[in-house]
Amino acid sequence: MRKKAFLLLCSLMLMLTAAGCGSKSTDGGTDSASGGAGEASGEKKETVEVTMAYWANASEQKNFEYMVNGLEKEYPNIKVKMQMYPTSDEFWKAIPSAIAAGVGPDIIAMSDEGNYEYIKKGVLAPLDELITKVGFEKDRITSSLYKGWTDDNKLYGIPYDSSTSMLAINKAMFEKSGITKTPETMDEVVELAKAMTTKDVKGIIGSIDPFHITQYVHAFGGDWGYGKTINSKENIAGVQFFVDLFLKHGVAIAPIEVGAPWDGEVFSQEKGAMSTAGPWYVGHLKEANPNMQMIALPMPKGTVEAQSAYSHGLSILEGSKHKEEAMQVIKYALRDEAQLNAIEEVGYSPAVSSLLPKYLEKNPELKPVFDNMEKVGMPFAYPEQTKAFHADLLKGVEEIIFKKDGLTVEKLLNDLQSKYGEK
Amino acid sequence: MTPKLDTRRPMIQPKPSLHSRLGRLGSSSTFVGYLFVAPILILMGIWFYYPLLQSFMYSFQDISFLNPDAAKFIGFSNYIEIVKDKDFWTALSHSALLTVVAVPLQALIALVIAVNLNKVRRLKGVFRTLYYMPYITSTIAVTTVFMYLFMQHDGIATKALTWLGFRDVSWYADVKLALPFLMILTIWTYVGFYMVVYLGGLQTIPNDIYEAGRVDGANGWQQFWKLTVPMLKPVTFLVIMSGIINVMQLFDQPYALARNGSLGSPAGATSTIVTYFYSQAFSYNRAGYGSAAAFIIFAIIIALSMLQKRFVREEI
Repeated sequence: MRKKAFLLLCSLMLMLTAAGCGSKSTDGGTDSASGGAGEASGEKKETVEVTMAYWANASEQKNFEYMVNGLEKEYPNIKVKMQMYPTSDEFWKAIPSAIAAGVGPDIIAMSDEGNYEYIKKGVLAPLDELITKVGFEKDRITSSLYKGWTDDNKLYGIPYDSSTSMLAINKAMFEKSGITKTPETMDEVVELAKAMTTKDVKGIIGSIDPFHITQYVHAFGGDWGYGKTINSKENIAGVQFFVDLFLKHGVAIAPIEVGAPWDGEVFSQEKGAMSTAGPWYVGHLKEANPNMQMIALPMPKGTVEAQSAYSHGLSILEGSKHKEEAMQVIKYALRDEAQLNAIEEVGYSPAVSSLLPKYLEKNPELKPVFDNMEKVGMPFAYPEQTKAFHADLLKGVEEIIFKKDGLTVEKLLNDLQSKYGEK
Repeated sequence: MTPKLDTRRPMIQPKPSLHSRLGRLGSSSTFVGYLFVAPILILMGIWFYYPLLQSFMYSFQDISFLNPDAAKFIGFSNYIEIVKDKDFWTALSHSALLTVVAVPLQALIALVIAVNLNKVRRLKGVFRTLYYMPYITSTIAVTTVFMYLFMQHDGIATKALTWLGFRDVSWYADVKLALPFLMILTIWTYVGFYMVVYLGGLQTIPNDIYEAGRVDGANGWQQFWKLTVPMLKPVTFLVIMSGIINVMQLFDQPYALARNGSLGSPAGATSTIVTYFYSQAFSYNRAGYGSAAAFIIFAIIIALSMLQKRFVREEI
């Protein structure tokens, strides 16, 4: 009898443990749900919790913390909960599921490279009315950066940095090449790449990545046109030029061929002499190869002068219950002090146009690059199903370069047009 | 002919009282058993069966994680689209090829190592640990090390293989060699685990059988082929079937290989059925399509498991 009672007691304890675990996880869930939805936090009913989700490395994390540091003095009713993801991959895995579960954050930080799908699916809230409501000075931001955040004349994000594309050349290798003039056209890029190619080094890094392929598309007058012009003859010419760097001229190397995760690593390891790049190369080289000197140039012309102008921005989710408070957080995060901190601590180029000279004082070699962005900057304008389009574009280009099974650039872009083209 | 009455049983059974019924239930070990399994059943219901059911419902919908409210019922369209998608067949063929080549190879290597290790008298534990290590080492770390080994020009494995006539290329970046690279990586990862399984099997074979074999004049090879291999048949089935299931679910290695690029890189050469499902569901946010793909994988694995059960029943 005692044995049975003991068994029953054990079962009861197991049940209670399970129930305990359940209640704990539910509490946790509710906690994050309330965080996401921005519910008032218990004691002070008037305090609103706004959740901000982003991915960041250690220094970027400090910068995000600085962006909201002291917010409670300006807005005593708002408390910000920071939701940091270590990589963009983790971020993009978690956020859609959180949105689907109704526990998405109020604010998300992302690049305008991948925002169109979110805009089109109604995930992001239009900010125009909120901007007026909280009195955010929209004109402080470099105007060209808004292009990547605007759809149907509605604004869906406030840029907090500015970025662009450029051509990076290894200075020592350039000087050894025998060519004295830096390239201004794509034909000159090929000539220089040939001159810098040796047994161990390829003249140019051809990163099979949408950002890099798009540079050639833009240089030849092309544009993805949010899915309207995927197979335009300009786009075909741009992608063909990229492919020819490998197949026709034999001067390019892809990062995957040397086991590198991205082009910057191939460049800093001096396995490629030149690359389509961005201002982040400056910081990367300081860490990875401080002795190496780089020449930064505006993107050379194919048939037109063009360069990507893009940014990381802060957007408010449509599902947020505290949009106005979220907009106040964004307004605070974009203050000059935070922008200057980003220049100093992370090396970001600011979104606030009046502060760009401060950034260029620190990075004078990038001045022509940013000047060119102001002049000819354009957004990526990827189709709505951005990630699937990227994957198919990369797979197709890899097939053409490595598999050589008869697929042509024209056929690839035609296929992509029928699959991802705007109907 | 009059029917015989069963005089042992009373014609009318007295109905047990509610109290005695409850008492019997309360005191029965069955009830206690139910109590014990209840927590795990409830948890499995919440964490496994409910999501399974929901995922099954998603597979008939056009639904995105980004906008679940706009879900539309589309019948079997997702399944039809998958069957028509050549990337699905490519991924499935890679998984099948891995199964056909890697699984028997890893079982063979594991058996050979286990048989030899079983003969070792000293430091057996050290060797066992050494062989087992790859199985418990981080996949990302293992894949990164293998990428260095198989790198163009500098990779030690690449250099060795060029002497055998292979091209001096980075294997993981070459569309023809990336899948063999994935096979080598997979075999190396799992062989230690299966070696331990075989070692356990070998230790259950009585020594008398080998002694009898020796008395009958069987040499080493004959003992291995006529005694060890048949005696290990159940273990071999376990190794093969568990190997098939592991390979069909292969994801970590191709994921680590893709690094920042698209899954299955280069040019889909390392795509597997699970990377296909993952890309659709989580990278492209196509929850419905991804769920349909997951159910196809589920059906394949269930079919293989049933096949395993049937073979095991027949052979053992």
